[in-house]
Amino acid sequence: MRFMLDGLEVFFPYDFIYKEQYSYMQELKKALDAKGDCLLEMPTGTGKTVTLLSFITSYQLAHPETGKLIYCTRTVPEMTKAVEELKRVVAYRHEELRKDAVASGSDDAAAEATAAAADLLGICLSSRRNMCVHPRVMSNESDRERVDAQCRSMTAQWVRSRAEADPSVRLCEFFENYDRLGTDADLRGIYTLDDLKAAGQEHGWCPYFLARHAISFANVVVYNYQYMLDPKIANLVSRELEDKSIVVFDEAHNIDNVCIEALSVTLDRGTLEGAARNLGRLAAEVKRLKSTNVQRLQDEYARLARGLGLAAGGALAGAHEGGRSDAEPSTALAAASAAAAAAAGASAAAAAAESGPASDSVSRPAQAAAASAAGPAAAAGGEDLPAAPVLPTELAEQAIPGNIRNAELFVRFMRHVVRFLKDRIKVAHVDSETPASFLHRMGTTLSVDPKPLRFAYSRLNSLLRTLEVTEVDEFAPISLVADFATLLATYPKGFMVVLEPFNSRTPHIPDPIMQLACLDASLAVRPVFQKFQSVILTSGTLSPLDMYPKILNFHPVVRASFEMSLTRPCILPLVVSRGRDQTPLSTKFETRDDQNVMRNYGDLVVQMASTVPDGMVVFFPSYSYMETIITAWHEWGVLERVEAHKLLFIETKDIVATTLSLGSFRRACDSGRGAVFFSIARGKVAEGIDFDRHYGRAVVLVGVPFQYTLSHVLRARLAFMRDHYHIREQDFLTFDALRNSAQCVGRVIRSKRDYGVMVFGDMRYARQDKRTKLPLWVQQAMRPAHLALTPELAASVTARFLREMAQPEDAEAAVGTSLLRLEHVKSLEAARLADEATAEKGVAVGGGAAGSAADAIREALAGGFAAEGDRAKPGSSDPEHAAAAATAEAMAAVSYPPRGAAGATGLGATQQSVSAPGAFSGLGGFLDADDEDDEDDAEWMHVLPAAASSAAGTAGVAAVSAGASAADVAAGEDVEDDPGVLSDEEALAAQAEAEAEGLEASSRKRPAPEGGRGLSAPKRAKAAADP
Amino acid sequence: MSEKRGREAETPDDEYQWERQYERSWDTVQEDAAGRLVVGGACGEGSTEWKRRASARPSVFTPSRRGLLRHLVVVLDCSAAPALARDLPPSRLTVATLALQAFVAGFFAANPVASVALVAASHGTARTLARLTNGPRTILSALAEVEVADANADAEALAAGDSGAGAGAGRAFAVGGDFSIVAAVTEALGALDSVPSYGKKEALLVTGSIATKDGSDVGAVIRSAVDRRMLVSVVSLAGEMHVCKRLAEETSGGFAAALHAAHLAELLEAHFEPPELDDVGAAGPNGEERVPMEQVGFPRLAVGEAGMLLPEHRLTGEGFDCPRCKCRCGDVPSRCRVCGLRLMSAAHLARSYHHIFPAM
Repeated sequence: MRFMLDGLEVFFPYDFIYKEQYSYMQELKKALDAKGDCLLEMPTGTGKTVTLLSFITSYQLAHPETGKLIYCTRTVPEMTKAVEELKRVVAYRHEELRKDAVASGSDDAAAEATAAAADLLGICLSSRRNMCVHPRVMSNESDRERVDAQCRSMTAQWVRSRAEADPSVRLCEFFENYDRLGTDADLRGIYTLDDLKAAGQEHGWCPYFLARHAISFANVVVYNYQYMLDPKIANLVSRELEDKSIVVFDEAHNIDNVCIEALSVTLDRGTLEGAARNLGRLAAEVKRLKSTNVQRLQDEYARLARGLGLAAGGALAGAHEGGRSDAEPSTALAAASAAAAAAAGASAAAAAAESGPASDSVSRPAQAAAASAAGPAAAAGGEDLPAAPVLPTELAEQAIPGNIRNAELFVRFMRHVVRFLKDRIKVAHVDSETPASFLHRMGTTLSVDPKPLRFAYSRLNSLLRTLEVTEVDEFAPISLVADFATLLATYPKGFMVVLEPFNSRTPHIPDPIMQLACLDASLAVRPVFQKFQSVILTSGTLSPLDMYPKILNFHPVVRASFEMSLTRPCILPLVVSRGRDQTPLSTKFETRDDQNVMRNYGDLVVQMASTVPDGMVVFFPSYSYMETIITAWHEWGVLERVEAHKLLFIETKDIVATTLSLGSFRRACDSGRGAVFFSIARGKVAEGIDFDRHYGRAVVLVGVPFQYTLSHVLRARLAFMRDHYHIREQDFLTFDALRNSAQCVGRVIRSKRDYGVMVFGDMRYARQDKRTKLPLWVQQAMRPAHLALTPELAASVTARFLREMAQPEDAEAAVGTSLLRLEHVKSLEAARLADEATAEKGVAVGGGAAGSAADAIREALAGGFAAEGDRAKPGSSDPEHAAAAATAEAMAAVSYPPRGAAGATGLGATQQSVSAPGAFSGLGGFLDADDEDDEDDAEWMHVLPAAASSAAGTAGVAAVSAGASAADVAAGEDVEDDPGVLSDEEALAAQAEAEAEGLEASSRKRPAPEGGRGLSAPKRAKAAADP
Repeated sequence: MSEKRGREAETPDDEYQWERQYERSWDTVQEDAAGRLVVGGACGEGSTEWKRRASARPSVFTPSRRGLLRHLVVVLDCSAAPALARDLPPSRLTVATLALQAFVAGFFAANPVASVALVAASHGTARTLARLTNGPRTILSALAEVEVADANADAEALAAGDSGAGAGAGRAFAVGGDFSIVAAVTEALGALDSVPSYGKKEALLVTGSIATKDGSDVGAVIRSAVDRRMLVSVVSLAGEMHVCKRLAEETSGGFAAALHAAHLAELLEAHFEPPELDDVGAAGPNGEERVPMEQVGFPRLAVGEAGMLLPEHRLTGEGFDCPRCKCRCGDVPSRCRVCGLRLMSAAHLARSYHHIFPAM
């Protein structure tokens, strides 16, 4: 259907829209209008993806100045799903536009052309491993890990120039074809990975390079988080994207971990040994090259002396080198393939991330290894230089210091570094150090200045390039060390070096590891927030919403959590707090090994397994606890009793085994035998595998999945957050545990038609502080009667629930309550327009005795105060606030604080807030805003009696102060100075704007779409204030 | 048994008050648009929801063709799970047995020319307790047998798993063990083997298990049910089980889950009405007409002076003479033992026709 939303035409490819989807779009619009960031939580299965895509593409159509939509996902299937939805959206829009054109009198062909003109180019980008179509590379199934290396060995610039001389050198015909023709290809439409591959096969073009090329002019780009967050990759792939783009992070609940992983490095003894070997080889290579082609080394030296090849990343350096060989067309070509090959590095890292959602610490070292393996791999592509692993703002502008410019000297320098690290890693006890002290120690031990360390990564890549190394993956260890060194020397804060004598997997065999742990999640994501106009974080589980802005250090203009509008209660959250014998059930440290507790957990699982048909999932807080409890259950015969009802499958650390057992689990569910899957709350299964429909009718959480709090990295991070972001350790741990719980229980429900039981098996879930941190849509379904059950009671409630859910659905009942038809949506918009018209009329009469406006305001006020109750404290109960509360009837409660910090903290119960953009930009801004707020509060206090006596008068005053605050904000944001910098006319103009908006907001009485006064007024004021 | 029925009569359409969920009656008080207080509203529906939906069924008569010569196999799940589950007191199996007794009587009243068989599934197998028959008598006695077995079953032994009372061919029927949907459907197919092509083959599976343990592929047996044009409807007492729903959907039967005993009765009653013939006019695999004509004889009641020996070895004072071969038989509706002619009275036919031409 096609409808107007706050004055914007939205093309939505379905005939019905969920109510929360509509509200979601409204919030999105506010954020986009304000050109700010936002944080939106909407339950899984309510069509987040299609809402986002259809709204943002509609927004792009209406506001052509908006840049690309960059949609970041975590996995390839998610990517494909998003692109499929996009296809549907665009097809629908195309059809509608064509109909419009026909209706306006143009003939069919012209209409088709009009519609086609508005078509989008949507592409997705993944690793070469997922995109390559070369038969020889892909036929080698077992060796798919080496796709990147093979690709590079056929497409690198120097390989290609060699091939000109020597026809026996094999090149990739797809790449050659693409290089000749593909760059001019007129791409149109939406391409999934498979579509790109098919197109590549058909035209003989390399789909990977085609996609890389198309990113620059596509309207919608779908790719992995890594391409945006990992600086090594982002500096190459996402650097050129325009600033006005809209970035969406879907499933963003783990974004802080992704950010941290992108900047953390782990070394172990094997890596260091490997690095030493690498250095030996490098030395030999340098020697060989010196005897055969000393010119190349000299060129490199000269280039480094000029300070090139550092800041600009691959493309620049590549272009330069291409230019060096001769001023031929190869310049552009070299630049292109430089960027491309460097991106291959990116893709390897992305592939590592995509192979399984990387959240647990187990996969971390592997991923880090993969990521940095990609680094040198790209380097070997000849002229391409992967970006340094640091953020653009930190990139050194200077030339590489003289003492490592010479290749031999550099190799020697790195030898010293590796030797020092090998010494340092031999620790008997856990030790941690700040980067500064680590560097100091290194400097004194080696008697070197640590400054060159900052350039280790870039220098190494330059060397590998010069040496034309082909066996790229073999240089992973030294590259990891260089990565380590560069990060260490670049960031004095926000990092910690942690040395542990034992590997977590083999806790008794000495296998020391050295971790450079990034503690500050905001580091990696900061450039994204800075660069792009709007960044949207969205997921099914983002509660509590105020945590993410803190840990990522950004200031969303909109944050909202949406309930699920349902015709039937399709989820049943139960808290089982006591066992049959009244033993409190909890996995807290003191009681977790108590036999009684374990026995009662066993009872819970048996009860549920004998009640729930088909599939069921049980999540344990950790592998070690799962092993303990399963052993005990086996001895007590609990497992036998479970197996009488269901087959048993267990997640292991081995991915292949887990995949197999998942497959068998599904088969057992399909055949009606029923199965239980034992899994880890922080494992891969909890993050990425859906147990929808009959694969998961119930999920049982054994305990609260707290992180391992004795982990040194975690403790360092907690201390850092406490000191820098004022987050108490306990708050963060609880937040983290509950977002994991929410993820786990969210596995069972993937659409509104699905249903499932969620059993929270820990008495702590019943506590207010835990319960309120669960997503709103889970809280909403949690009944007070279900907060303290025993296993038996839980089973009987479950049996009843399952029988009720098995009743046929009444599709018609949903229409109008949770499903909105076109006419519903239209009436909502009409109500908004009517309100707007009334408000305008009120302004026209000059805020006098304009009957309708005054009436509306009076109603809104009355309703507002009644609804607000004691929440409407005098300080915050401005008329708009109250009016907004009155509109909260069906939608999630919205409140408009005057602006700034005071308002935001006053929110409390309402889950949603809209704060003015830039009202607190940084701590300084925060304080400023606070000061100004005091003044404002005084004004509001002054206004209040007026509101009581004459509603019409209030409107005028309210509008005036809205204007004033808008002007303040504009001033505060731009120059952080006295509002006096605004000239009088500008202030007046801003005020007039704000007046209209303010009235509109205050006179709203139905759940009409929110105009977003708090946002648009300051924004427009700002526009007016800008010279 | 009568005592149980009596108990049910007290709360005809719902469970006991103390078995119900705790109701917060004050929560059901709501304010309507005009500010008045209204009791009920959206949150007060709860377990009466099914009633509202049932009554919302359209009563508009649409002409259709229905198979009146129904051949129904009632498959009852007598495994340990329904015998032990106490959520429908006294147990799911008892509730199902009682409901089926009522159902069988009602079914023959509504479909006088239909035939019914009873299959019981337990101990991983299924066995036919009553072959296809035209009257409720054998079915009811078979159901009584289940009831006895249910009453004799030892809860301890059931809970402990296989009590060793395997359902061997010669042994008495015993409740317990695992439920196997493959065995149940296979046995139902076997029971309907003799049904001519024009007869509508139906199976009604009443299950109370949450799982099925099968030795062979479920998909294969579902396919064979589809191939042999058997329509399987499932009424579950344990919520929705995926494979049951799939079985019902693929064989174009219906799946339903009962909320409580009264709802179960209602769901079973829905099967009184013959299913529509969706394949009317479609040629069969050999090109024959799918709905051929069937010859029916209306026998004459013959009252003999002395006792007569019927072909089914029964001595009776009165009987019916087949109009074609003059052979005597005991009951109508039935089939002539000699010439195979279907015998029924005009009243039977008239009663069957009300499914096609309902009294408006």
